[in-house]
This record gives sequence, C-alpha cells and structure tokens, in this order.
Amino acid sequence: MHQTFEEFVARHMDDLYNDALFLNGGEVSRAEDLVLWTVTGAFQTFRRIEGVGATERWLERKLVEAFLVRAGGDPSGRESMEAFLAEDPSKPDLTDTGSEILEIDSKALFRSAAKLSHVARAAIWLVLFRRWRYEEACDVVKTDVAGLKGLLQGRRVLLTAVVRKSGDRNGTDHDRR
Amino acid sequence: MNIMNCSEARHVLWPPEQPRLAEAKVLEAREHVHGCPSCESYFAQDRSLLDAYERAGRERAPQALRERVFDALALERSRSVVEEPATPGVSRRWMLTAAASVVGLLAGGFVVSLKGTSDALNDGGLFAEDYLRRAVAQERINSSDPGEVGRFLTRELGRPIQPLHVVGLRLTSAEICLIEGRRGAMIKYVQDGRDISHYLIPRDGTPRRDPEPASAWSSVADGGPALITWATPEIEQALVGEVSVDHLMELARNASL
Repeated sequence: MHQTFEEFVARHMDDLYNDALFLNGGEVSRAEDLVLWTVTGAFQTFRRIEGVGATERWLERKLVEAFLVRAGGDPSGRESMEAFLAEDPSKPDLTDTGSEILEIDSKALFRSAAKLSHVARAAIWLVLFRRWRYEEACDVVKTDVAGLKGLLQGRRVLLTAVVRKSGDRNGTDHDRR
Repeated sequence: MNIMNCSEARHVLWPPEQPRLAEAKVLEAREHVHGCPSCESYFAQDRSLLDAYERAGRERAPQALRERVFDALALERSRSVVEEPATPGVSRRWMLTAAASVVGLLAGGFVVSLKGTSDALNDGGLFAEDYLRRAVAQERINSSDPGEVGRFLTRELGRPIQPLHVVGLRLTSAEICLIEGRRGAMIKYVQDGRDISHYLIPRDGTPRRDPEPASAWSSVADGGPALITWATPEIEQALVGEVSVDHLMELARNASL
C-alpha cells in the first residue's frame, strides 16, 4: 500500500529524535530543530524526485547532511577531542587493551558526544551506530578512508568518558533533557 | 605476501554483522582478527558501545516536536495546492447512515447499496473501529478558518486536502473518519441553516468519476438527506446534506470538484 511521506516520518520519528540528540550532544532544543530541519528538507527532495521511495538509510543521510550544514564550519569539539586524545599518555588505551565487556552508562553517552567535533560525531554515528560501510560514510562526511579512520578514533572519547562516568555515580544520572 | 594490519582488517570486516563473500581479503582479515587480541577487543567494545547507544535511544519524541514537524509538512503540502475558485453558491441523526453509504461506495463499485453493507453494519465492526479511534485520539477540529482546517487535514492524512470555497457555504468543522481501515476526512458546513458534509476518502487507483446522485439512498431515505458521489484521482468523495440532490450536484459543479 502506498506510504505517504508523513507515514514514513511518523514511523521513524523516535529514532530521528534520539539520533539527533546524540549528534547534538544531548541538547534537546538543538536536536528538535535538527529533526524539523531534516524532515522538511527531506520532504522537498522526496517531492521533487517522484518515484524514489524513502528508506531509513536515505533519511539517515539526510539527518547527517542537515546536521553538518547546520554546524557549518564550526569546529566546535574538535579541539577538545584532540586535547583529550593527547592529554594523558598514561591513560589506558581502551581501543587496544583488554577484551572485557565494559559497563557503559548509556545516558552519559550522548553528553560525551559533545566532546567530539561535529564531523567526528557524524562519522561515528554513521559507522558505529548505523553500520554504514566506510566508503559510504566517507561520501556523506566528505573525507577519504584515511580521514574517516582518524575521525573514528573519537570512539575512544565516547568509551572513556562513559566509563569514567559509570564510576562516578554523582555525575551520571542527570537527565539529558 | 602483505601482512594485513589491524586498521585494514577492521575496514575489510566492517560492518561485522554483514555477510560477505569468502574472498581472499576477507579470509585474511578474519584470520588476523582471530589471532589479534587488540582487534577482538575492538569489536567487543564496538558491540558494547552500540548496545549502549541502543539503550540510550529509547526516548519518545516529544509531542510538541511531532506537532511542529507535521504542521511544517502540512504547510509545505498546502503551498502546492491550487486554490479553488470562489463561485456563487449548499444532523447527527443521519450521520451513521451517511457513513454506511460511503462504505457501500467503497466496497460495492461506487453504487450505493444499503443492502450490501448491512452485514458489515449489523456486526458493528465498522462503527466500533471508528468509535474506538475517536476515543483515543483527537481527530477533530472546530474551526471556520479554511487554512487551519486544511493544514489539520493535510497533516493527518498526508496529502493536500482543502475545504470547499463556495459563497454561502460556511465551514464549521472537520474530522478524521475511518472507513474500512482507510482514514479520510469529513468536512462539515452549514448553508442556509442546513448541514452539509463532504467526505474525502483517499484510495489508491481511484479514477476520476463525475458527480452522480445515489438513487438507492434517495429512495430508501425518503425525505431525508440527499447523497451524491464522485471521484477525483485517488480520492473517493461524497456530499451528504439535508438539501435536494440537485442542490448538491450544483454545489459539486460550482466547487470545481
């Protein structure tokens, strides 16, 4: 049966909202604006290209594109990520040591994303959370595979920040709203 | 022979859940990962991170956001609607019968057949469905503003629906109806103190059809409201009112339906 764009959006509204929350480091108002921006922009494309069905992957791409456009050239977070990666050489390397399953404070995850640059958040979200192939993600975030791999190092920020906060219960239970 | 490093192996095997052909490169990457604590740890942590994300991502989008989004979409759709030209110009007690007739139109080849719908009506399923839907959702708007009503209907139905613009026909409200599982609009008007309702039921594949009176209805409901039906592409339509059939036909023609 024919699916309207509104029906498609309604089915994915919760996912879109939560994804926008991550990309915006847990900031609710920014996440809401991003959802609105994404959906209305996607609608223009949907209407212009008749016969092209809307898919989850298509909407994911629209979300990231809208996010990066809104971020513009703002390198917010880039500095903090680089500082984080360089600040403590003695810090345990979560990427390369141990194989135990970490206990992760899921609520802190969104907040920790704010430490990353916009493009790193976008890359991590596409690759790690939406399982995009490297080459596909490169096309969206406008970089090559080597650049993407560099961006994906930001996962250490997420892992470490979240694990740190898991051990610090005083700082982990604030609602992100 | 090149020895595959961690970075390359992770790239080749990403995403790890995806089936892939057992090509030489893939086999080499798998062999590397199985013998590499660092890569095994990487994929295990990746799984943990993904689990955390999926746990974190279960918040429902706020209602206010939903309204903003669907209002914006309705506005976008409304902009594409060609305004119908204004031209000179059309009680709860017959509402159920009117709905039954529209059901008959949809199910019975667009010829009103009260007999044909009696089974469906007798078991009450159609009415129960509609009643329950109304009980749990706000699907009605009381407004005489065509723009507001149009945005409401467009938002709810996902396609541009606009009230009629006919001099003397006063818009009073609109609501979402549910007929055989299909969501449609029922827009209510008053003209010279008489109620007139306009049904629009989106239905894929519906060809255009000229307005015509529902003769079976008129004979059964003698002295009661009149009913005419027609179709525009993809939408079944009907006008029901406590006026003459001729009046409804004229209204349909004047409204450029």
